[in-house]
Amino acid sequence: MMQKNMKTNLYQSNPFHLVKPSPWPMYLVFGLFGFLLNLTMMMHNITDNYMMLLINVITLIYIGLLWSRDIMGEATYLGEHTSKVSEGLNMGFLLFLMTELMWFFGMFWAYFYSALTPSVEIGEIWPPMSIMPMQATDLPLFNTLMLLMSGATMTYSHHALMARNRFNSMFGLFLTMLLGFLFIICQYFEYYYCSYTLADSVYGSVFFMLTGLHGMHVMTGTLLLCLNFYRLYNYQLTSEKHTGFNTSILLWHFLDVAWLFVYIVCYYWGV
Amino acid sequence: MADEAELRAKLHTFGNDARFPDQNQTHRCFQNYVDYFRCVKAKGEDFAPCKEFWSTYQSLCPVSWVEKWDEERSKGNFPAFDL
Repeated sequence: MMQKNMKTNLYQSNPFHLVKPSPWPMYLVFGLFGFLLNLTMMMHNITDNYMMLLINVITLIYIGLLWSRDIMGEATYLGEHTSKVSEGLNMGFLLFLMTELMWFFGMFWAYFYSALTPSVEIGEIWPPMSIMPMQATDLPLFNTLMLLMSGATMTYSHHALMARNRFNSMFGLFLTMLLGFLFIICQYFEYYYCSYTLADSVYGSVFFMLTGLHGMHVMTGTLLLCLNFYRLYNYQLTSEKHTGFNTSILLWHFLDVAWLFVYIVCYYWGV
Repeated sequence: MADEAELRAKLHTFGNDARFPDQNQTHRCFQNYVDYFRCVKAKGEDFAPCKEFWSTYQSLCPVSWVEKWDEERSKGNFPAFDL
């Protein structure tokens, strides 16, 4: 009886990945809660301890990496990701992108609500008096070009992977990472030299919520691309099967399109 | 204002303004307040049509708002241009 049970453990009669208990979801939730708490306290001037926030961000990234490491192991070394599992992962990511879409929709709604009928408190004018909006033809235009270009290099990398061209695939991915990184740097300088802040009327609020939402996602997207670069370098992605790479590409193109709307609305239409 | 008392006597609830179709007339109040001071600035206090704006905002706006805006105008931080 004992032996029979042991034998049946050696195979399973379904194509699904029956996951084992993992600490990462719980750790991540605690990390996110701490991040929320610290960010809120910082923005409401309850604390000016930026170090806690920094530790929080590092913890979050670390947990994310550990979780990713587990998943990469399950995919590459344990062979848990059958085509059925990959389908599920893909569908899950598409659903995640839908929630992202709704988040952006909500933030755009806030922007249009405040901009189309500016309230009495800001004198019914948009942008409010003495807000000096960013020039659409300045750094934001450069950012737009860089993101569009990164979409092209992303496709270049993907097609090179499918064509089994390792060098071109890695080169394309590296260029995409570089462009993503440059985008973040440019956004940083743009924020740094911006004449208004998150606290300067509803204009600052909706502007930084929209561009910040996008910027945070570009950071996450760049991290994902780094992970994919690591996997590509370690021969974990094949020309036939690269689900994680596919979903990262989807996220990247999503951010690309989202930026076009953010650019048109925040830097051209709303100024 | 010279004939303020007279105008006060004539105050009445204003009818529809097609620019402000909502039940919430906040924007109409503000617009008339701003229009009155722009009108006075351009045409002077005695220009009769300006008084229409005056009586409209007097009728629509809560007194506390008007006091707040008057204070903001005197301080120079009223959030509308050229006032």
